[in-house]
Amino acid sequence: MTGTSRTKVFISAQLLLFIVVVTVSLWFIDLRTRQRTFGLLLGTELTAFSMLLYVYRTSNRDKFNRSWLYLGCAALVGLLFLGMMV
Amino acid sequence: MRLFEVNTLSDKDFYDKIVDWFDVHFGFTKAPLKSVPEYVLNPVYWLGALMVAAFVLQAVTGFFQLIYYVPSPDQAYSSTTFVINSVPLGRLIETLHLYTAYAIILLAFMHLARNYFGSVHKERRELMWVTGVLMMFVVMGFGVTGYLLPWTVISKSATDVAIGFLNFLPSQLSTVARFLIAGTGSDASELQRFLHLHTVLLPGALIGLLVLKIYMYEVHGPCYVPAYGKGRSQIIPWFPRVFLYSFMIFSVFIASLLVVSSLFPLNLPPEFTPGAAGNYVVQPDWYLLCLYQILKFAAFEGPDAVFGLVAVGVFFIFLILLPFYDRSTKRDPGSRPVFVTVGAIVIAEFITLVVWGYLTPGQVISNLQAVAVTGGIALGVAAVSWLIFRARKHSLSTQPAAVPDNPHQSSSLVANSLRSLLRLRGYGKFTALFILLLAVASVFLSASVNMMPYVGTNVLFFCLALAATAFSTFLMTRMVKKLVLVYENGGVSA
Repeated sequence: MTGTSRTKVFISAQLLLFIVVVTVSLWFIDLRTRQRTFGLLLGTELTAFSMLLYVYRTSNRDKFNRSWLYLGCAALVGLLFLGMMV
Repeated sequence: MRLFEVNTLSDKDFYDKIVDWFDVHFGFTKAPLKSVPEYVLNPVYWLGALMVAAFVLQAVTGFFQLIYYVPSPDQAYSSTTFVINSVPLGRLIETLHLYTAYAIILLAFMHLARNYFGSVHKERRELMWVTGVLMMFVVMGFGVTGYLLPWTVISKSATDVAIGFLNFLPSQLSTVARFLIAGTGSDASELQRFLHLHTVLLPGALIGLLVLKIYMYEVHGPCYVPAYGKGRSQIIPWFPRVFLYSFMIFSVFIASLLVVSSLFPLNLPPEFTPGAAGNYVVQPDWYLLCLYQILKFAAFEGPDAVFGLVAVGVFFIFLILLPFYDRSTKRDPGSRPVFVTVGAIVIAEFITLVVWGYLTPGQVISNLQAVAVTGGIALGVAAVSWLIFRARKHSLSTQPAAVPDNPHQSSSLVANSLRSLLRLRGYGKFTALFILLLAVASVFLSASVNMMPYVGTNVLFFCLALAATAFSTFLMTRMVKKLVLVYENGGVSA
């Protein structure tokens, strides 16, 4: 495994970890009173999943655009914040 | 070392192993889906697929609602509010169902516009266009039938008005249509019939048309659209790249819907009762506001509504038959000034009528206002379109000839024209002044339109508003002309 491929695995592992953590938190949310939080966290999870697919959808010959990853990370943080606020 | 750059690997890495595992166990590469050119990995080519994803989401959320929904006038509203207030995730799912329906209709309009401006109805794809337009009608049918089901005061009143339009059909046809759509005429019958249309007939029709369209897509393949970027002709198999791309784009789409549904949850209007109906102005959902506004024109009031309906019907007939009279082989929008201008006018009129209808609920629009606004918009869009095509024509005469439909072409003609407009970025003051003039013209135009019914008492103000509009428009025209001259001189101010 080369260094760059390891980077790819590292990013994916972080995103997978994030997805697992959000899934666990979703499990403990009161679905009657915190529906908006649930929706926002589920949206966060799907965004992380799409980022994971973005990292892995390209073949090994291609580069991926770091701007999209930064934008995705900002979206994750923003949605998590909104999920906690509503 | 670039952080996100991945080098070529001679041996299989973790990614390849995952792909291989799925391929071995599911046989994705053997699926009967045609390999596609690489340029389809672009959201512009996925509007139809997003609609399919949204339709699946609608089926799931709709099934959840059907568990609790009681289709009777007495309990339809209470069963809906029960889901919203008492069922876990009920409000989120109701809201998601509503917003996904809006998203489907919006995507249908975007898909239609994309196909129209990209001329994808040519090259043996005529029936794909016809099928697509029919699917749009089915989608609108979903919206109309679903609107009634919660039995709110607004939805019931608006639906009754819509059913009333059936009276303008020839008497025999009207009777049959009323029976098919509204049943025997009672509220209970109407609600039952709308539920059946919404959950049985329309889904069946949509699935049938969808299967037909996907089949034709597989036969003809994706249609390269020169206007939407550089085409790369490398053919890629569905699995894994297109497969993963589709999941990625679907995830982003559903996440967006979830976020919007969570931030702006649904609040139902009051329940329908004959007494409550008198206190509300009847207004349809946003996608029908255009038709609603046209029927509010004084010329189409009362029994004359039939003329408005006939006009709208003729428009849709022209829309369906587009591939059969637009026989030119040219597909680049830059080579189709008439069709592009007509399309731009239709979009501008649609947006204007939707906003106007929303802002003037229940008001009858005088003929003078109707002609001034719709005619003004049409003339304005036509003038802008003419200027753009004029600039483009000049640029063509000074540049080597380009082949518009060649996927290997490095840049399309429309892209060149748009690039010329983007040079505005360097003209900060110019842009700011133009926006200011646009705002002034819009404000005074709306003021003069509003004063039209009382022009006898406010002649001076009316004339001043009209003069201010005309002067602002004149200045904007001069600015656009200067822009064209600058462009013609290769970016040097004349």
